[in-house]
Amino acid sequence: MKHKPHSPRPIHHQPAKPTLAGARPGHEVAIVGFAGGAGDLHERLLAYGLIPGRTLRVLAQKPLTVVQVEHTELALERELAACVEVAAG
Amino acid sequence: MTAATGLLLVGQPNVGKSVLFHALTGRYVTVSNYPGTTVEVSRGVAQALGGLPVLDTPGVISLPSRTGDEHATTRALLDETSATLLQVGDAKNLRRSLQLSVLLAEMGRPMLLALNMIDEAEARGATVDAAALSAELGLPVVPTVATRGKGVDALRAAIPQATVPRFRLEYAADVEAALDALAAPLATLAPAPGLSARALGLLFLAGDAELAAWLAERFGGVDAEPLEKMREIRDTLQLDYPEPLAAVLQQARMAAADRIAGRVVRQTPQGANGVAQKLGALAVHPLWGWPVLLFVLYGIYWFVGEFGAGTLVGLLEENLFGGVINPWFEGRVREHAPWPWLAELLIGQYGLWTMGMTYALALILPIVTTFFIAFGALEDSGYFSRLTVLSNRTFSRMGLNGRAVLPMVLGLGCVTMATLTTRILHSPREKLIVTFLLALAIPCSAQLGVVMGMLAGISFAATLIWFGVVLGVLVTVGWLANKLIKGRRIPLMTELPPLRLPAVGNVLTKTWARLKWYLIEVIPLFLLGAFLLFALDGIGALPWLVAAGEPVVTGWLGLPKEASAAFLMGFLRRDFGATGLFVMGTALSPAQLVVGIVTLTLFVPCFASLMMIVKEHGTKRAVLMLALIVPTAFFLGGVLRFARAAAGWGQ
Repeated sequence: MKHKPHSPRPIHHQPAKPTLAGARPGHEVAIVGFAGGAGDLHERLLAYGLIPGRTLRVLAQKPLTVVQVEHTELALERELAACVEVAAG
Repeated sequence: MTAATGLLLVGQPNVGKSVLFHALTGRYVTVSNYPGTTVEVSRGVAQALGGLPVLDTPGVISLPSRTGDEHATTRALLDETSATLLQVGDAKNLRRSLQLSVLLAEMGRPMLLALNMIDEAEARGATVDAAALSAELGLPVVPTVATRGKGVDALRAAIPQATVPRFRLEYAADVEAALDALAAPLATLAPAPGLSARALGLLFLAGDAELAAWLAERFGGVDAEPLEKMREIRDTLQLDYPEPLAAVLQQARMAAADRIAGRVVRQTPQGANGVAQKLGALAVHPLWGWPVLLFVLYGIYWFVGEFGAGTLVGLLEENLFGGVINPWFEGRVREHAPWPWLAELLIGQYGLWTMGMTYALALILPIVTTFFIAFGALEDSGYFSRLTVLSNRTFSRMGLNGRAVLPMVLGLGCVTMATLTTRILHSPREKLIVTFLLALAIPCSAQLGVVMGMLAGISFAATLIWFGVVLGVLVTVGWLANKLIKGRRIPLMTELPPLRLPAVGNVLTKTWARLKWYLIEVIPLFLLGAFLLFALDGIGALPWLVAAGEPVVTGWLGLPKEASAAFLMGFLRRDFGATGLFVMGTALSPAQLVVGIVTLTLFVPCFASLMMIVKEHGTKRAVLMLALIVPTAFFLGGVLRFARAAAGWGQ
């Protein structure tokens, strides 16, 4: 399973930053920003309501990352979740 | 008030566009509780609105459009310039809906917003102030619960009142400057009225591929200069930002949606999760998800396999057709047919009635009907999206993601229908892989019914061998395709709609719509198949063709030469071929039957699905697929024969 984003920009590439892929189920996190990810990933995340500043509830991490945004449950692969930088909400 | 000549329904996936379309026009399009059910634009007429034409479009998560079905929506927005826009929004995901509204509202044509699923929003403690939202956007906002017809009358009344919204979203200064600069070349390209230069500019900046194609079609060949200038403006603006312009614009819209939603939604905190939510979580649980799936599969097997293929087929084929209708019909024909060839055409060995209609109505129809009922109930419940998540790992090995599970499962009902549904996939690469796998290794319910019946008659081991070989081929070929076809796998991101109890009425209407489609596609092909066989037999070509197939069928597969006829029938319909083996009965040993069944399962897709592949991928690719599938099927059939001979089983 790939954890690394495909084309990380050097400025974002700080391994210490926590991402959604590492958030614990049952907890709330706030989105800080996006790092890496291919093509239109940012727009798609935004379109689903994952916007910086918003808090989400993490529902599961297996088999995929499942989060609740507003009243939608959204499932995404770890590879994508690893592109979302978060802070404890 | 503007004289609109139509109504264009747009919105995100799974918000209820098709249900509203049905409510407004009385025309039924397939509706389900998963995103991506509508794959092309449907047209209908609203009688209650003086015969106003209504168009339903595939859902778009956001614009610019990305997948084939989303492109169809952009195309409709670009072409249907005199239509009023009716955005269907999901009240419980207001921000997401509004993010699309703030773009659509600038298209420069009359628009209104149906705030659907208001009941589900309220059940989650969210109250939306429709009047305040209407004031924010400068357009009529009507709360609805489309599945129960609530708010539809109010919506009908509001449609003629819709005007061009007074809304304008202020983007960053450099974006605004670029939009102003784009207005001039867009004006020389003279877009149709009812299509604001500003909205076109926004789509252009975001790099909408369908808009690019649309512009190129209209103006590319004639005068490329303005288009060149537009690209320059876009490239220059892009230099200001590290991320793609589409993301920049999207973020601005999302921020606006967030502000507006903050002003119009009142949220009261919610208590514990309901049963549906717990069950939904269980269905995607890495451990418990599998027992849930097994339970669901068993339910389908019981309903389709035992009840449909067993009980119903027994009643229809043996009792009704075999015992009552066919003897009566044959008696009538023998009595009244003036020429013997006519009797032969109708009730002979390959007769239109005895072979064509009896197979279609007594054997296939009950199986397909029960399958569509089961599939409809699963769709309506929202379980399929969970299955997408659960199966994601398996599909990732084939270069796909869990979304592929939908066409694959639908393929077990009808491969032709499933091939059409591959449009919900995100890349041409995924579409190609899934279409190929469907054509090669997914048996449709008609074929499955016959195959399972025959295998059950041999032994459980035979069933396992068949299942093992077909699954092995599916996974291996998927894996190979992933290695050989250029391109990257797209990771899964999907919405999980709330689990609901399937609504009986909805499931039945949906089953009927699918059945109707199936009957129109299938019955003529059944009759055509029977007629071709009759004709070949009549002109004496059949024995010749059977002889021509002998080296492969007898030499390589080790089957009696008469089995060639079954493969010939398999060209017309796969299940036809299986039935052809079935009627040979005791002429085949169990080992030969298994070889024959495996080969037929992998063998060419039916005629109808071949036509669908041509339509979706072009003749070249369809021929290439055939050229790969036919030798693969025969090769593996022969390998199985020799492997079994070597293992010394079932001679």
